[in-house]
Formats: sequence, structure tokens, C-alpha cells
Amino acid sequence: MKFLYNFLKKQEPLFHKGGKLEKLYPLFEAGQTFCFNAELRTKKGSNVRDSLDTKRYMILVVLALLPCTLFGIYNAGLQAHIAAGLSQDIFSVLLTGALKVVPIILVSYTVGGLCEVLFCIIRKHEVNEGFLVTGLLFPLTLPSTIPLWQVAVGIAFGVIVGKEVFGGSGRNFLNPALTARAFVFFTYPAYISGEVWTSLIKDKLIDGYSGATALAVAASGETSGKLTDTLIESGFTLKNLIIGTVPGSIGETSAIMVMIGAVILIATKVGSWRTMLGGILGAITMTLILNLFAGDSSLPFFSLTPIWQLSMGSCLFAIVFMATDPVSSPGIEVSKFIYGFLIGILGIIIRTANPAYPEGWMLAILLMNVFAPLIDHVVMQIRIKKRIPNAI
Amino acid sequence: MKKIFVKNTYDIKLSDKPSNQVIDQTKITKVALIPDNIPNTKPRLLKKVGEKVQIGTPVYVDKKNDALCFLSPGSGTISDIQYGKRRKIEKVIINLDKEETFVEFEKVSNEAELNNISRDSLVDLLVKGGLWSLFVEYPFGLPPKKETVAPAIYLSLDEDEPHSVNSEVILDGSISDLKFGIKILEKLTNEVNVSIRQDNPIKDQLSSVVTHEVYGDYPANKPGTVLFYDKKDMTKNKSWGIYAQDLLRIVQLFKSGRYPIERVVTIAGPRVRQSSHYKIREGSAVSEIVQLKDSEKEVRYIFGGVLTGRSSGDDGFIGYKEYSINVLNDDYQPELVPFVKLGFDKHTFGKTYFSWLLNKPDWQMNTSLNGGERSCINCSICPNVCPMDILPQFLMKSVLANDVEESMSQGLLDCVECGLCDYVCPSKIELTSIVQEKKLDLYKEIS
Ligand code: SF4
Repeated sequence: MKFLYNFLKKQEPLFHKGGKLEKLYPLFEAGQTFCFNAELRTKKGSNVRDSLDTKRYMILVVLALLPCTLFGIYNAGLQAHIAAGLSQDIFSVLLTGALKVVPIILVSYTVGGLCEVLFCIIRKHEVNEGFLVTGLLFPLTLPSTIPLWQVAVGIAFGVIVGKEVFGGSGRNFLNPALTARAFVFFTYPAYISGEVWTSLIKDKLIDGYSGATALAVAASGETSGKLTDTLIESGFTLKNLIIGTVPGSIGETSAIMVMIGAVILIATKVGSWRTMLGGILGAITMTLILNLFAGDSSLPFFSLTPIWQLSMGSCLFAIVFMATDPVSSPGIEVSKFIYGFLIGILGIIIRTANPAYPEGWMLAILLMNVFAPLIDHVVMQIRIKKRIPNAI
Repeated sequence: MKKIFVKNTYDIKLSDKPSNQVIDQTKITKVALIPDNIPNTKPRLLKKVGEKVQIGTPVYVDKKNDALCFLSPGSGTISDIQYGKRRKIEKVIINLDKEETFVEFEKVSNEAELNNISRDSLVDLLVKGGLWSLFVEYPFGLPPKKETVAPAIYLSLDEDEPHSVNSEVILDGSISDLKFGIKILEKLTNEVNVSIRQDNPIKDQLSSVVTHEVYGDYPANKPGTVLFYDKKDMTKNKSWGIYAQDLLRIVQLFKSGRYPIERVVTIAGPRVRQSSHYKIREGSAVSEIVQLKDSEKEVRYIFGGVLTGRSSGDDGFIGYKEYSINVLNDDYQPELVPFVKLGFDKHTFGKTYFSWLLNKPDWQMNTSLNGGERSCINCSICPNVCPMDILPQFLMKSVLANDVEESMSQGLLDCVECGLCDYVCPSKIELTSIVQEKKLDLYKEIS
């Protein structure tokens, strides 16, 4: 360790002002502080500081995403094997899944990372750790069928337009991963419209296999009788939806894995339980309201009960991982709850009412990102009224 | 006795708590005055290098507020005046004589004498005796003007920043002095509030004078915090604050008629030979009073608590209004990828490292920033340690946007500058300094 440290230190003058690689200093800094703890000492203010830094903060989000990622790899393989009628032996399934998913994640990290570093070099600021999260969050919202070049274009757009044009992590108001996702969704709708999301192996497709997601089935409206029966017939039993062995985006299918992530986020206090609770309550409330209007003449989607709505599609994933992104959320505790609640309501409305956008969550959160400062502002005014003014 | 429950307080659990033993460390050869110790002082020197001074001779006064007169804490010759950036005076160093002499002031040694003098002459005595600057006036936390009358004075019996002097030690045998001191304060204002920590063992002995019982960790018993929780409307905004150890010095001045130069302070830290209370002289050099176990690694000396104190290297001197010296390791120890570890050995406010499972009684801390400086990620940790109900991240943003109105309504002037938000921030933003500087700017604008 000492050796590696000394080696790094020897290279440092190269990157300093006047050194040959002066321009690449942010890259060197990122590398060094990634390997070793920061050398900086306190100057002003408190002489001692908490051990928590943004690296730790972000790496915990990545940790919370891992269960979803691993299950996503398995499920991508599984769906492909089911479609092709191949054996469902766990090792071959994992292998197929890994071959599909790992390249997507790698492309996302590499291309996004390059954009990030490029901006740091131009702007001369440090590489922000928020990227560790964005780079993984984005691929998990994609179907495993997506062409890699779209992943590259999407993440580049997300990092640049969603974040860097505002001045980098902390100054952006949209969630960069969602910005990337929305961009891909609107630019290349043919690929990820929410219909066929299963990776196919050499066009081998067994007869009668549709590969449609639960949402596509629910939104198609071609049902006679109860929607849940139709869903169950197509293989979307509640059990499957909760475990996650259904077609869908890489990381979003399994309610259980999302819940494990939620527990990690809440236990470490990195993700706000208020936002999550608000989101789930919002979704339940809206679903119940829709249930009231459910009847023969309404869309069959109206009749789905909350448990179905919550476990289908990206609802939970979005509430747990996307809505809780601190940078694009409001900052006051009360506002976080309101923000989550409104996301829940909006997400269900968009998903149900407009079958063209089966994934309402993405839009609901991006929309609320825009309103987050407003919610904070209103709550702040109420707080200020309670203070005894300290004028001079 | 009014109970005050202060929310969002926090004990950082600093290691090497000083013991209650008092060690004599008063044999020294030089002393210094450090103008920086009282923020915003612009000294006008009254003495030159080479001139003789006695204990109690005025050395400099503040250019803006001539009630702030600083007296020599030693008798001898001014040997050096050190300047910093923009010719700011940093230190006035005095080499001590073998036999030291005193300037004699008027004595006020008992209550009868106190009742006989007017408020004006009392104020005069405090100013001439060099102790007026011990008071702070809120909301700015700077010494008041001579003419002002405080709506109330808040006396805190225990400074609760980690490793501050223990009131059990400083009040041992001085309770009657303290009570006399409270009488002096009562002469200065109509309302004197005395606050004590709820768990202080000497609470019962003082029950006749204590008005507020405070619940909570640091900074619950800062006078400014008690004021914030005590006030009902705007009338008390400009109250004054003072600590017990300050008040005892005023009593000493009045009773002996001489400028008090000795006081009890704490000296603590992982490499200090004996973390304990020490009896020292004002203006002592750390090189003469702090003994380290070894001198291998670099250390930082912090005058005052680790969260708010002024720092220096080994050429530092303890200032006029500083009652503790914390010594922290200042050298860098490389550690491989600390951010992916379980972190049983990492002190933290939240639950991001597993250390919270251990419930360790204390943590050895150093001066590391423990991370890189980033923009605010809106993690909302800082509001959890703000006892004044401010949202530090919002206040910081409105201060940086130069929106004074908005900053004030969010509580800019309520901030007691405790430093806890600095401590917790994962982006390592100097929230307290940002607020402090804005307050000082405002103060300069209106004065
Ligand atoms: S602790 Fe730091 S990063 Fe977090 S909200 Fe406060 S200022 Fe922002």
C-alpha cells in the first residue's frame, strides 16, 4: 500500500501546474482519491470532520442497487431462455444474462465516465461521485434488448444535459439517470415502448410467446372479463411479479430486490424514508380512487388493486431509487413527503390514463423534479412565519 | 427554574477527555496578546517594541470600539510585534521580568461596596480593567458598545463544547465568588438568566441562583442557544452572553484590584502527556505549557473547542478569551479505499459506517477533512444538527446568492456558530464560516 501511495505521489508533479499532463489533473485527482483517503486538512470552520464523504454516500446507493442488478442479470437470461425454449438451468441462464447485461452497464459507465471527466477537465473541477450511481441506475431502467449505441447516446445525454450544463452534481435539478432514460424513450420509442422486452436468442422463438410486459398486457385493453385473470393467464401472477421473473426492464422487475435496496437506503439514512412512504401512499391513494371509477365502461386498468399496481413495472423501483435522489428532491423533511406523495399520484395517473406511456413513473418524477424547489419554497415560507424575527 | 429542551444537539464524543485534576503550569518566560482571539478587532497599538509594561498596562484598543481595551497579562518588555497579511497585527510578545509589577485598580470587594458605586463607574471599571470584551452581544456575538444596556444577560455555567473547562473544577471553592459576580451582572441589567446543564452535579448547590435548566448536548448551554429558546418576542434579541469562567475573572479583578492573569484551562489530545485541567497564565506559549508524549508527528493546536476554535502551529499562544487547548494530529496517513470498508473505526453522525453498532464511548479525531470538497448534494443531514431550527443548506445558498432579506428571515442572525453543520457535511462545505462571514459583513455595514 505504501508502495502504491509513493508511486502515485511521484507522478503527481506531472499533473500540477506547469507539468506535462497539467490538463489531466482532475483525472489524477479522481484516481488518487479513489484509491486513498483524501489528503486535505480542515482550514476554516470546524477542525474535525465526519468520516462520511460523498464517495461513501454514493457507494451506498450503488450497494443498494446491487441486489436489483444481480437479479436483473439472472432474469434477463431467464426470459431469453424461456422465449427460446432453452433449459432454465441457473448457470446457463446467468451466463446468457451476463452476456446481455454486463456490456450495457459497461458502456454506460465508460461513456458516461468519459463525458464526466471531459467536463471536469474543461471546467477544472473534481470528478463527482454522483456518477457512480447514475452510471448504474440508467442501465437498470433499460430493457436488455437495447442496442449498445443507444445506451451510449442516452447516458451521454443524461450526463451532459441532465447534469453538466447546470454545473455538475449538486447544481442540476433533474435526475440525470431519468433524463437519459427519457431521452432514449422519446428518441427511439420503437425499441423501448414497453412492448417486447425480452432478449431473443438467434430469433429462436417458441410458438405463442409474446414477450410483452405486464403493463403492455394491462394497457392493451383487449380483455374480456377481469384484467387480473388476463394477466395471470399471460404468466403475470402476483407471485411472479413480486419475485420478478417476468419480462421487463433489467433492474425493475423484482419487488423483493427493490425492497432489499430500500432497506439498505433507509437503514443507512442515505435514502429518505419520507419520500418512499409518500410515494407508496400516493400510489395506493390514487389506485383506490381509480378503483372507485372502475366499471364496465372504464378502462380495465382502473380495476387493478394497489398491490398489483405497486408490483407491476417500475413503480417501486422508481419510488425507491429515483425519487430519493437527494439532488433533484426537495430538501425539507415535510416537502420530501409531499413530493413523494405527488409522484405516487402522478405516476399512477399517467400509467393508467395514457397507455402510450406505460412507464408513467419516469415522467412523474421528472415533472416533480421541476416542482421540487417550489414545494420547498412553500414549506419554507411556513417555517419562516414561526420564527421570532431577528432584525437589526 | 425553567426547563429548556434543546433539540438537534450532538456530542461528537472526542477522545482523551481531560481529568479533573488541576496541574500548575504558571512558570513561564513570555506571554503574548493575540488580537484575532476576539473577532473583528482592529487594534490601535499603545506601546512599541522595546517599551516596558506592567501587568494591567493597556497594550492596544480597538479602533472602532474603544471600550475594548486589552491589557498586558505580564510585566516586562515588549520584544516583538508580528504582522500577518495586510499588516494585520497577529501577536504582541512580551518577555517577562523576574519580578513582576501590577497596575492597581479600584477595588470593589463586597456587596456593600458594589451597592455604593453607580452603574457608570462599574462599566468604567470593567473597561479600564480590560474585561469588558468578555461580554458578547447578540445577535452578532461580538463585544457590546460601552453605552448599550442589555435587555438581559445570559450567564452559562458550563461551556459544553467537547473538552471545555468543567464547571465542577472551576467553581470548586468559588461559588460565593460566582454569586457575587451575578450581583455585578444584576447591576448592569435588569434581567440576569443563569443556565446550567441538567446533569451537572453541582446543580443543587446553585439552586438559589440558577434560572434555567438545560437539556441536551453541545451546544445546548451556549448563552445564545438559551436565549433563542427562552425569548418570546423580539425584545431580547440584543441580549448579552457570558460564561462562568469569564465572570470569575471579573470578580477577581474587582476583589483584588489587579488584572487577573491566572486561570484554569483544559489541555487535551491523544498525544498530550496528561490530558487534564491546568492552571496557566493568560497569553502563555504552547511551547512552554503543553507537553507532548513525543514530537514525531505534526500536531495542530486549537484554542477553544475543536468545533469552533482558532488553530495554530507550535508557535501559538493562548488568547484573552480561550479556556482550552486541544491538540490534534495533523499528519496524513494513507488508507486504501476507505469508502468501501465496513468502517467500524470511523466516527460519523449518521449510520453510513458500521461504527454506530459499536456504541464506542469516544473517538480519536484528527484534522483530516475526511473527503473532498464538493457542491451541496442536498443530503439534508445538516438540519439534523442545527439547534436553532435553521436549515443550513438553504441558508448557505441564500447567503451565497447575496440575498440578505431571505437569509435574515431564514435565521441568519440566530446562528450561534456552533460548527456542527461543518462537522457532518459530506461535501465538506464550510457552512459555519460562510454564515459567520456574512454576519460580520452585516455588522460592519450597520456599525
Ligand atoms: S450536509 Fe452539506 S451536502 Fe448535505 S445538505 Fe447540508 S450542506 Fe448540503
